[in-house]
Amino acid sequence: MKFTLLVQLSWRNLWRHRRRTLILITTICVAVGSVLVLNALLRGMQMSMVETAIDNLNGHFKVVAPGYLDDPGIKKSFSFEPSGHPELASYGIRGWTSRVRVPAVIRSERETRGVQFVGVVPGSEDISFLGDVEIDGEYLSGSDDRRILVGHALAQQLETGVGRRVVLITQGVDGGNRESGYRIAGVYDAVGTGIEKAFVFTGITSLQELLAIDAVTEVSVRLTEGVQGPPVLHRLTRTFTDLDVRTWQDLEPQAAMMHEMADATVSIWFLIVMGALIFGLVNTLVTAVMERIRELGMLRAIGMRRGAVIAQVVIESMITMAIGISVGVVLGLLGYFWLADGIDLSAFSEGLELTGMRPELVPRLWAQDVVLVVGLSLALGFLASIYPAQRAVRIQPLDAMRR
Amino acid sequence: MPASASASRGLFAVVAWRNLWRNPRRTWLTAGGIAFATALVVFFSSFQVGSYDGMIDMATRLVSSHIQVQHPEFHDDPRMRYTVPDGIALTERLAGLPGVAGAAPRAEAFALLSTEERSFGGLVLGVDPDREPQVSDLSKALAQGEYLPGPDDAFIGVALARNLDIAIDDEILVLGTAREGSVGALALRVGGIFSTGHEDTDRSLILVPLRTLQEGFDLGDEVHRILVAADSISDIDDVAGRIELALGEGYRALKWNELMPEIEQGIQIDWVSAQLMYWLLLILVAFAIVNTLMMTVFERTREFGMLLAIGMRPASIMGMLQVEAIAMWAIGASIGLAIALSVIAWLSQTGIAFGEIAEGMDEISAQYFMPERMYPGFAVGAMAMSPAVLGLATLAAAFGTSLRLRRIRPVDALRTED
Repeated sequence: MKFTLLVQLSWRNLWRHRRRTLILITTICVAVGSVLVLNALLRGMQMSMVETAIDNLNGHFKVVAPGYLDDPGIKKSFSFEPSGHPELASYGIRGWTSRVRVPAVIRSERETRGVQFVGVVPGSEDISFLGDVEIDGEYLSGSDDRRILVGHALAQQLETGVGRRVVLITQGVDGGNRESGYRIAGVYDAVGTGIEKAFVFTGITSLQELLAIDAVTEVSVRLTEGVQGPPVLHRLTRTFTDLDVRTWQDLEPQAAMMHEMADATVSIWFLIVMGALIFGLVNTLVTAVMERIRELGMLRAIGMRRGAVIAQVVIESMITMAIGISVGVVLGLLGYFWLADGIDLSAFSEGLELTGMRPELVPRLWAQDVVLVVGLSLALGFLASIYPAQRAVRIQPLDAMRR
Repeated sequence: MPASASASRGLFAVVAWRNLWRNPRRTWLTAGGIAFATALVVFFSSFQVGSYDGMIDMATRLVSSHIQVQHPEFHDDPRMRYTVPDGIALTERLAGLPGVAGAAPRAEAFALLSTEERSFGGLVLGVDPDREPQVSDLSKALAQGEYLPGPDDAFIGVALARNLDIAIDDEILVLGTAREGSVGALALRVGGIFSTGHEDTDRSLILVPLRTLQEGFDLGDEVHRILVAADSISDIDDVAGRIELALGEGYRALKWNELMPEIEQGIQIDWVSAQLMYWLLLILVAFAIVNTLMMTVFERTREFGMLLAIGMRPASIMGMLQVEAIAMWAIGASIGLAIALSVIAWLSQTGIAFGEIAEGMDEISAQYFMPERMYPGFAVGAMAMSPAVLGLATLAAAFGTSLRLRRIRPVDALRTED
């Protein structure tokens, strides 16, 4: 029997019970559409966590001295000449920057706090959150700027502000305390007070002078959007043979774990939603077969092959799914575009900071996720038709026609 | 005639029940959908509720306890000079209130912690060594040495000890800003090291006896916080109310959700996003119920026509359909509840350990204050939600589909083919 004829038959059969088919299609639409929207929201959370982890002075990769991560300190520093690595530019890298980072204590006239004192190359910090924070006062003018940037929350705790002086105490390579006064060039507003309380920035050469070293403690590398990580990691490892190249996953294991969990959550929810759908789908298909027992028996009696009977049921299921999925994808896209400007979750900002998320949730819809949802739903449509199709071929022509 | 009325009601139930089993496959598939959704939603929400209690418990026992009494400004702006004056006497009074499991005073100062080789910034907590174990679990997290044996002993976090590269009996110098802006200093010996598993805590805290900190930082007998532990988490609101009444002007009592808003917000985010998913699941199953009931009604056009022709009132037929639908819902919902409740009952004995699900999960969960082993919680509201929603959906669907009865004309209906 010709395939087109079978499709035509199935199509007509579907519309013998218009309302029933429409309800079934609506269910599939709702399922597919909402799975896509939920998926986009989850991906949005996931990406928000990843970007926070990368922005948080990590980059996609960080080059450090061996043993630095277990014992971060000025003793684990290394010399790095940015101009000595022109080949980095061809790796698909958006930018890199070197830093000196030491634990320090900051003191104002009133208060004392523990911080990370970070010497940066101000011009190349566009790869971290520092590149686009709001600053009250001035940004650092260059690597030799002897002033500092402090976070808003820290400035409040220290009861200090732009133009005032504070003292920073840290340790030199010899273990002796180095103490120096600094003028505050600017106060920055980061997402989350945790960052604002943790980091104080100054020019890299001015910090190197204080510590009497000529080395750096880390080089952060940020990839161009869409570039795959592993090959770049491989090339970086070969470039910096006597140093450690770490990924953001190594540096922020919590964020990496949350990232993997989000992947698992997406698939589990898809399976659950589709599981709920399959009950209704099988139910309708079996009913459609059972109410046509006589008719199917007759068709078999006049010579329709078993294969054709099976094909007819499968095609009916697939057509229903295909319509439901197409409309569902359109609904999902509409929902996605409706939410695309982002959802304001600032009422929960502290809770989100705990998980490393930004207070604005921007959904992300990936083509690969849409393809996956569509593909799996079609597979489900096929699965759901197996039992009804079996039921249909078991019909004995004689028995059926006697009814 | 009441007797015949009840007899006919009984008859209705029998007929409805039999109707349900005219197509057992369909009844089971629909009830299966109801059971599936009910079991999942009940199980998951019970675990959510259980994990929230665990989180609150873990987070409050770690450092900050259930309720704190502070200077009115201290929470928003933790400065040395915002103290609670008569700390010790007030602690005694609060400890005596009903529902209070324990109370302890604390003073604190940010300081530079140095050894000969290294220095790091940290938060020094001055605690009453005897009272502190009543309000926090820091003393129980002892990993090495002893918990505050003498006046010049320090009890420090394991990551801080590693960063400073010090061990038991090593010397440690604490330098900070005292109450009036002068230099505050303490020379201490490492008496013990604690490991809570929570990174920030292990990396930044050092405990010293309260008197030692008060002397070194010019605090006199003032403290910054008085921590109060309630007998149980559900008592916190009552106890906080009693504390408010006991305090005069110049104090502020804060509950755990004000001290750690991130915990409560994290719980709210989790709850709301899960509700979205649950409702989606319930809506999908509701659609399946509507479709089933519609098929049932359409198939029986002839039968209904006959019943109408022999004088049955449409309202009675509608009633019978309602009974059929509710019976189907009852089967599905009770199977779903039975599955969920037996799994919950089993897991409330054994619990689920994150470490067993995925490697490294236990370390991660400690950062979010998730306990090592999670137990489901019994929340009647959350458990009743899914069966109740599906029950209402079933009733509405049965009513909606049976409206078709009004359009059935017996003569036409009898002519239709089955």
